[in-house]
Amino acid sequence: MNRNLLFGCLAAASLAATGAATAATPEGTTPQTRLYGAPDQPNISGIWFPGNIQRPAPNGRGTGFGSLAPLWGIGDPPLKGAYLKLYEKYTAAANAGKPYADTASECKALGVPRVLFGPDPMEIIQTPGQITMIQETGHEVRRIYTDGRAQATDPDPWFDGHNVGHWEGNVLVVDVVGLRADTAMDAAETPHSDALHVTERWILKGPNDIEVDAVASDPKAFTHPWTAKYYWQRGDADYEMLEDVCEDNNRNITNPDGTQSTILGK
Amino acid sequence: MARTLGTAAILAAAMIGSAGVAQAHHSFAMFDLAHTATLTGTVKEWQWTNPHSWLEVVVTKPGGGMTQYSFESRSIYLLMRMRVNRFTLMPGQVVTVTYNPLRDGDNGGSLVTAKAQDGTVLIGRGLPRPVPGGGAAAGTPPP
Repeated sequence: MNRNLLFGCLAAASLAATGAATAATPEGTTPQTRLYGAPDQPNISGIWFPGNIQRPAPNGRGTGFGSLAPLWGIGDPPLKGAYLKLYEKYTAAANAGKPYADTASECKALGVPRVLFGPDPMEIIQTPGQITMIQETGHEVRRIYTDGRAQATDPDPWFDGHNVGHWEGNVLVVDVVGLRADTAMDAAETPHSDALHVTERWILKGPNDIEVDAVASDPKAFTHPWTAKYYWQRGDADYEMLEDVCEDNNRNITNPDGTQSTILGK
Repeated sequence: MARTLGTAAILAAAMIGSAGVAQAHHSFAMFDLAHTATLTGTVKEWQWTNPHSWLEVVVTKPGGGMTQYSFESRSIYLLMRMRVNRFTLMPGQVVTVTYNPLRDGDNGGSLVTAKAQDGTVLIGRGLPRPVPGGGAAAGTPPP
């Protein structure tokens, strides 16, 4: 079968699937595609594009970072104590045109939970026992173990943490601990501590639509858990993920005082 | 098969919005986003790179002599969605650039648009709207 014919058949199947899904897509219903080797699981392998990205809030939150800086969470960050002061320092510096560096500007990684809104496409490779999420941005890889293992008890802190997950019907439930304290929650450099604990519910609303309901708990930095909602939409099967090597032409250098500068004339 | 950005990419672009800077790599706070400036010069290099593409332009100073400006553009992914590619700007080409200047006054800024001398928009302000058949033109705004 040539590729065009195959694609046509897939498209027809997809249309049929979409039609079927329209009739019954609430949480807990059965999707059309099951994972080969683990037929009890929906199959979310494929290319996904991020949907909504929250923008600077009406109260001015994040404005100094650029009018389109993507922010995490619903409403203001529930920061307290030293973390609130840190956030105020970052915001004042940005408003003055001297933003602080973060692990993204240094081309290290976005980290969990900032990767939850992309901003670029993501490839999901689902195999029995593991879901691998590869962000186009910086080739950042997240491995979510779905083989039933227990969460790590004393993990080394990682950018993307230690991820274990399980399926509840059409919902992938993910638990993340062991997150580095130096990553920012979002482009407004909202801080968190090493006690950050993220839980996510990846709700398969239909074969091509995912809603992620996330909760970030941080007893050291937050007054109460902070919730967020994100959407991902399945992309065309023939989309080819781009190469994205962040250090290729990164002109954002970190100054000794922690702020960042731009290299010109390179 | 040639790369296709496809319907989902266009939809995602539409959801992100017409201004479309889904910026994650670094803060834009070093740019004066409330103001734009314009200059005309000669392309020294169009760096088709991540995490940003950069346009290096050589400009004649008012009192004589040459100086170089650096303009940060978007990531390859975002530019591809605008139908911009690595050949969109060529060394030696004369371009007129609008940009958000660096707040510290250095020679450069965040690129907003780039136009050829015949008025052709090489890099436009927004992302393409969904077009039947996927034929969004290269950075060309509607007339």
